[in-house]
Amino acid sequence: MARLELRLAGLGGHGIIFMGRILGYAAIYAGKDVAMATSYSPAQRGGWSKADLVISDEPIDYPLVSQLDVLVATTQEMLMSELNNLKPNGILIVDRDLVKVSDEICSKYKVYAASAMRISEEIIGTSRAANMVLLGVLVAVTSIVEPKYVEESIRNTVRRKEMIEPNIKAFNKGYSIYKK
Amino acid sequence: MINLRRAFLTGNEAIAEGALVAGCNFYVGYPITPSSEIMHYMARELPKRGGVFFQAEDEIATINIAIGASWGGARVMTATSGPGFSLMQEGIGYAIMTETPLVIVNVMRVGPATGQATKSAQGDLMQARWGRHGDQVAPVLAPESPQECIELVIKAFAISEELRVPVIVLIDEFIAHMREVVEIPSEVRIPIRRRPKDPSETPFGSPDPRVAPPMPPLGEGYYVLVTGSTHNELGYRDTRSFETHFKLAKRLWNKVWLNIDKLFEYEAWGIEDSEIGFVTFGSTSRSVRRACKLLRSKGIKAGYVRLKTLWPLKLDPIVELSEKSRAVIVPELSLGQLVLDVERGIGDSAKIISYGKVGGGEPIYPSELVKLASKVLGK
Repeated sequence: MARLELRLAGLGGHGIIFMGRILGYAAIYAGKDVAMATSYSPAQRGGWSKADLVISDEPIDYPLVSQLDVLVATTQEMLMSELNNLKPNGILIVDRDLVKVSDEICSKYKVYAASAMRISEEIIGTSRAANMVLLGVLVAVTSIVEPKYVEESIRNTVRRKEMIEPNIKAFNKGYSIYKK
Repeated sequence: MINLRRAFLTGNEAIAEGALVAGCNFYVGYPITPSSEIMHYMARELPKRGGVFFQAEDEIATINIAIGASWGGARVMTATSGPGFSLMQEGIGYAIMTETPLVIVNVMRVGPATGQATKSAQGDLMQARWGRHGDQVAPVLAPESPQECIELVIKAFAISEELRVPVIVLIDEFIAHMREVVEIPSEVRIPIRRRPKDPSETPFGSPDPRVAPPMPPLGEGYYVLVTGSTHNELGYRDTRSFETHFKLAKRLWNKVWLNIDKLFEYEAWGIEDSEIGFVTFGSTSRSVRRACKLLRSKGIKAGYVRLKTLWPLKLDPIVELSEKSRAVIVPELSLGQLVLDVERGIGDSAKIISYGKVGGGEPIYPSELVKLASKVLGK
């Protein structure tokens, strides 16, 4: 893999930037180079939030994304505003309960959907690990890193110890949807 | 063998880590976007390691507290952004005149005035060099990545302690908030501040113009006068004579300029045969590097000179770049400041194109530079 450009986009509170950090560390553990840029709206609550990652086997010269290989969107608004940055036939990942994807979009891009919030709620009793479900989908469909590195990353990054296993569980569930 | 620790840090976090590795034990600051994370990091980490963290009431107090702490024997850093950097200028001049070691980080954002506080820019280049009144020089270093933030902050501490001079580290919002893989050394060697051995060693005079005079620590009984007014070797004010002022001003000037070989660092790529050249610094270098590779893959020989030290500056690498190139492009996140150095260096021996762009957090995209270079060469 030469250079993969990803954007994770959603609402503040969806754990977008956290998802980026987990993936970033996983890529580092897998021996890759990573650059990540984050941005968020000035609103204290309810604003949008974005994490851009470049992951590469080679040292990264230019650290910002220009044409996305992968877009993860957890709100309709972010899907619509970011879709034109996704390259034709690029990978689009959404929470199917939060984001409606038209047939036209499905014909232009490879779309992968999961009821991330609902799955998280079902398996760990809270929707807060929905981001890990989506990360599981992302890792399954891109094969960007082996899942063991994501697990290692969660173990080293999640500060509250009791939240480590639930996050890993949510990730594995998301991973298993598209990869048996 | 140096132990390295791998981490995934933003530029701001890397600045703070670099300072901690360099033995910074006093941080003073006033929060301002987009530099605040440096302050947060130091507030969290410094007290754990026995250092002092102090939040001042504003940037004027900050710079003066920093100077006082340095004279008290501490290894000091502060960080700010445009408006705060403007407020600090008088104090930085005082630090230069009193030969006070300290490190000042300026995270550039869009200005003038409040401008666009969260957006990246490179418009403080000239201010970092010339923001103070009078004849003065302070080194200015410009990292391009979190990894280089660590390396150049360490270098900044080393220079400031060795030459008794404030050193400015200039980054921009992109680097400050961008997260990359870094390797942090577990320890580095920073020169120990030299103290006077006996009264014949004066605190403001040095027989060798390249060597800073020894610095007596305050609070240990050493009698020393510290003043921003013109002073002689002993520190006594002399606000009348030409000789005293000229000697002091020249010595402070030469102390930095005669050490240029030690201070000046740059990176050159593809300049042996470049038909189109770029001169760059900071975050813009990342676009330039990508653009040069893309141009080479299209058969256009592109090369660049990237300045890691912005001041004192050697023009030789820029001149070398221009010798082969038909044109030299200077992309920067400002309306054109670095381009003035390029004009000074190469005159009309190659066509110079200033490519300034600033505002809204827009970077200079590699594709823009590729298009521009192709157009300039008519290819």
